[in-house]
Amino acid sequence: MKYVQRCISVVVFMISFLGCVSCVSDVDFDQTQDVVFNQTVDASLIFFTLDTSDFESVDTQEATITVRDTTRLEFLNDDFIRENLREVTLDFQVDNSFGQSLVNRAAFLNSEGQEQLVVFFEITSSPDGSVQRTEFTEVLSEEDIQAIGNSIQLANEVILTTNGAPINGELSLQSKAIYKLEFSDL
Amino acid sequence: MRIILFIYIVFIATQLCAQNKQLLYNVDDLPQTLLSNPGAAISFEKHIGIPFFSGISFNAGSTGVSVYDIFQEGGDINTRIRDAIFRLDAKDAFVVNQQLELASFGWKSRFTNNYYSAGLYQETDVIAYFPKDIAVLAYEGNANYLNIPFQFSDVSVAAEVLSVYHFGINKEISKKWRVGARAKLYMSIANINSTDNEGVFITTTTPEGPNFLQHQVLNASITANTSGLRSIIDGDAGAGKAVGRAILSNNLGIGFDIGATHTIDDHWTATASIIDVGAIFHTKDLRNYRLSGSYETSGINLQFPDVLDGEELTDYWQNLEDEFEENIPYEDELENSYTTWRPTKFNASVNRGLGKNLNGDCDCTNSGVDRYATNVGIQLYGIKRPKSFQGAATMYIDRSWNRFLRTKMTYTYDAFSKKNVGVLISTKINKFNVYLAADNILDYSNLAKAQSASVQLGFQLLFDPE
Repeated sequence: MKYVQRCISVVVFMISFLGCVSCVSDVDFDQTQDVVFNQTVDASLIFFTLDTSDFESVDTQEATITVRDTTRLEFLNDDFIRENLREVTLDFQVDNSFGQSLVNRAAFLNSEGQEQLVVFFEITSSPDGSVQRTEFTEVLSEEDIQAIGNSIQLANEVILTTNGAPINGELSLQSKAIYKLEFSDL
Repeated sequence: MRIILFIYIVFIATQLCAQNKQLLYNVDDLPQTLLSNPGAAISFEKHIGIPFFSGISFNAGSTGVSVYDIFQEGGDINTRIRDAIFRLDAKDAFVVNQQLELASFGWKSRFTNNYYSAGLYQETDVIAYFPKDIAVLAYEGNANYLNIPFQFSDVSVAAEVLSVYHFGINKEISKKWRVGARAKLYMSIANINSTDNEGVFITTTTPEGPNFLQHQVLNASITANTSGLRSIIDGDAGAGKAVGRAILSNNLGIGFDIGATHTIDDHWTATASIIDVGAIFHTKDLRNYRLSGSYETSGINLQFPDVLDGEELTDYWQNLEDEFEENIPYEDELENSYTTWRPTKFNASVNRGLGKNLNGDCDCTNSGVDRYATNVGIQLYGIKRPKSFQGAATMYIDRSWNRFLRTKMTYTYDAFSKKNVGVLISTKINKFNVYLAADNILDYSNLAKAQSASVQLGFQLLFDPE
């Protein structure tokens, strides 16, 4: 038994030695509170092509003709996105060969259909039927981002102002959003 | 996602080294050497381990960064995390291995001179590769990586808790050769395996339309197989059942170890072994998770229906969700059998004996084998992992100071560390043996800077030849 005690003493000594010489120092785990991840997500939004038939189907006797479609964008009012969204840039590009004056109006709506934010821009008209390109970028303000956070739908309208000339041509719109997200409070 | 990323960073940063027991290899008066080479030369003729205490080992390692690299005082932690994410690659791994001998014994046959050894040990083995592409996507988003694919194959994780019954024979077949083999019966307690994932996520610019960007998931095949966990998650099994599985599991496997020692001349010996050649067949208490398929979208294509003519509004968002789920279905109720291969290890060494021959000029009780007080040599180690082969090279000096004390000092070079110095101290008083081995001792002054470390200790009774 004396031998066992002696052996155990040796091991206890060795473990104690390792325990004494080993330590974890010069580190600060409280820094986890300072950890911030910055994500930039490039995501497609809506796209469409309109031609003469889309405008013929509505009442062309009015001075302006509006075509409209709506889609839900459910991620906009997601709590996780809303809490961490810091910057949004909307990019639009339109290729147009209509000769009339045109405006694109994108309205972000809440669940009751009320407009929270509207982004609109004029589309360059074509004097001779050739394709004219319009590029439009909107960087949303902090207030706009809050408005977008309350939204769940996007209603896009193309408003054509008649000028007496025949409505003839094609319009293609592309869009994307660049979301800058900042995650903290790990 | 951010929490998963954070856990990964901390895991990677806290890794210690894997499974290489360089300090116990070739130590001929410790029975544990038979577990890394069943054909090892041994100097005892019987051993009995103290149950639960004869072999306790824990080792773990990181090939990438240390805790200190991330959490050092001062400076900006976000810069350090970013540097770590971009410095690590998909072959950097977090590895943990733990073993506990529950029973261990062995004896030398009076009739055949063979040495038989047997026992039962429990083992935990975890390897998680750094999912580089997924981490970059989660950390930075896709905006700076247009037209660059993010590979799902970077996700590779394997974790196993098992117990192993083993029986080995060590036989001297000539004065030059000693060989050994060990049969193993694996009892899987719990297993997670997600190692053969495929597919990419890519955002491509599309100047020809129809929209600025196209988002694609191509040929995704992401599978996670589990066994032994479903009943625990469902609450049908507790700790008692896990202990029961350690003794007798429905998920069985078989395997073997082989090894040999070759005496080249009076002073030189060479050894080699292959450990854990085997597989486990998971057939019970299964749950598989699978996400597979391809899908691409350019966004929401508005159709501008003629509402005035009675056309209904299109629910684009719902269509998008439905199409995604239809093309990339997520299955979480599968119960498919699967097989996992054990991480096979390879050992080899060349040893040079120096100084006094402890067995004397002619030791008739040990077939005239030379045994020196001081040994120096080189050991090589390798382990087959899901993505690659991890290797290590060790130089050592091994010294038996007297009948009571033996030490071994090693320097190991591997992917985990370039300055790994380890020490073994083994004492034997009468028949009672205690050993303690630890590597990376240079980092013990500040373990936060260590990328790997391991500790092994045990208590046992050893009986020398009369």
